[in-house]
Amino acid sequence: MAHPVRAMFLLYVVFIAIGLAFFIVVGARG
Amino acid sequence: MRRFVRESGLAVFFGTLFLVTLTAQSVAGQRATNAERLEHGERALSWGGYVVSADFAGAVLENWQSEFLQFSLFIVATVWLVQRGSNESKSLSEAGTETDAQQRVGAYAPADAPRWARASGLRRRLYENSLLLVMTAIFLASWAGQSLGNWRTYNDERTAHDLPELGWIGYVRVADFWEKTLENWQSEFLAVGTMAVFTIYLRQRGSAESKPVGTPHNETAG
Repeated sequence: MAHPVRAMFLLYVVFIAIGLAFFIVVGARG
Repeated sequence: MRRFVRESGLAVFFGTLFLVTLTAQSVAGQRATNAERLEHGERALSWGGYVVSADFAGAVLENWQSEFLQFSLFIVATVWLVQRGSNESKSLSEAGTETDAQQRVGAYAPADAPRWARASGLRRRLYENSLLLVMTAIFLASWAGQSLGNWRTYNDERTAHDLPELGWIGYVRVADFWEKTLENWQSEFLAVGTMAVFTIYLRQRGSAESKPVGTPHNETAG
């Protein structure tokens, strides 16, 4: 697999993980 | 750089649209919330204040969860269920998890196959289902997150009306949570069902989401 394609995959994974963590913490904290 | 953008066109296009619309949602959401707050004689929220509010978190995650549920169900349903003539379906004879040869795993894996596709046992089981597992995990996490955000927002409203706060377990049993959940689910299921059926007869020349224009209606993409 070409390196930039793997980078894009990882970018999506990291973005979703950070987004989920952020909104879950914000939701839980109120 | 130009080559990178071309080779990852879909990821760049949808990632950019996501960021732009999420930002726009936060601005519109802040204004809508502040209009309500001012009506109740409350202090207006800054944009930053709104972005870290339970209201925004709940609104974002209630849409996330339904999208990831939609794709999770689509992934797993298309293993066993078929739709004759659809671009979204395998051919009727391929229903099921298929043979190792068809899936090119284990002894049938080519030399450059993903390592876990060549493995056996638990590693291959995990890799065989990795797309469904990850999409479902994101669905469950965002649904849980939605419930937390909506719960806090719901309690804020109850407090404003001098009503006692509800525990989380109590909240996920009230109609407010299920209305916010189901209003998103129904639209996703309609859209998926529509794609499965419309792609039998309708075409978009050049799209991966369509059969080639001249393909007979009864020919399943598979």
